[in-house]
Amino acid sequence: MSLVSLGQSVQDIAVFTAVRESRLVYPILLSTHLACIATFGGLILITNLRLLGWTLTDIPTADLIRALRPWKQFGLVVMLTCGVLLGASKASEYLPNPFFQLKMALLIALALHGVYFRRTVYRAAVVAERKARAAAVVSLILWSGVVSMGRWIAYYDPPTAATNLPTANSVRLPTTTCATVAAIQAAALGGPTKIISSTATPSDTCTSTAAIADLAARLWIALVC
Amino acid sequence: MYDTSTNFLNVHEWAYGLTEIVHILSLAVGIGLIALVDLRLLGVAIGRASAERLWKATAVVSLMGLIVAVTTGLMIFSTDPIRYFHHPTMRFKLVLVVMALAFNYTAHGRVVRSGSRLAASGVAVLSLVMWVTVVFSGLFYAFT
Repeated sequence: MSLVSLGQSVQDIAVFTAVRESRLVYPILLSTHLACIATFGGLILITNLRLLGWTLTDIPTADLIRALRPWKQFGLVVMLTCGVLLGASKASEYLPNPFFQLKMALLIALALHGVYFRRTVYRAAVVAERKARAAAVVSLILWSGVVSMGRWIAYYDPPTAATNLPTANSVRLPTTTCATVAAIQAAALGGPTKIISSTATPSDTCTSTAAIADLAARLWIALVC
Repeated sequence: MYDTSTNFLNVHEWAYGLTEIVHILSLAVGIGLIALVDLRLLGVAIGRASAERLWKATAVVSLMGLIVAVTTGLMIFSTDPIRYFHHPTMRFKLVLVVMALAFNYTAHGRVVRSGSRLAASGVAVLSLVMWVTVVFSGLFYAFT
């Protein structure tokens, strides 16, 4: 079963179809998802700044982590609920999307980082300083990556769409770039050519999303291989 | 006459997407740290730190986040200023951002330093509502 058909069966579930087809629910979920990043992201940031020893050094790290934990958990639940509804309602587009795949890989890495540092940092009575710094750096990098890839999900155009005309923000690229991207995509995803070339003049242009997808595919290969 | 096709963000293939990412990350830094102070104002105990202590500890990073968010926001605006300027949702957002910034560095800051419990809760709720609405209107711009 291909990712597209798997996604299709997911998004055909009634609740996800309803979310996708609603005028208001979808943007509200998306805004809530982003608002959670903006507000609860601050809790993650302040924890990491404390773990790095850059601020609030008079408060024991363990106290800060304990005080913020229920709020982070609340934020995570809201963010994940919105995220799952958003992702599942467009699963057939999202599953084959390299940015979505990267975002999921980064989220798994975040979960693993939580488990790895659980005993020494996140649930420790006294936090080990060197481990704390390492945990903070990993957390900051991974969360930035999750947010960035989340934004770029919108930058990937599925191969079949006939609407891949260059937009105001797209740049014309030489055919070779398109061909390279297509080859990397094919190698990375094991499927047919997934990349866009402009339907307007397919022989010599493609949109800038191809170049971004190119990077994602390269990163993806680096991760998988 | 300003020609948007000469704008760096419209010319360089990576610029627009990267600017958007910086915008989102920096707004998360700015708004997130303000939200932390608001939580404290609402009575959430964070170690033994007072709201004022948290405000001072986060002030520099939060200000940097807001400055970068506003700068990248204006950069994005410059890619198609006429469309953005005439869009009602975007106008609403821009006015609200100015109000939220002014509020944050006047009433919000004053209550953090000294204020009754009631004033603290009121200011915190208003601050959170304003910033969340800013995020919502930024996104709803794309849907309206």
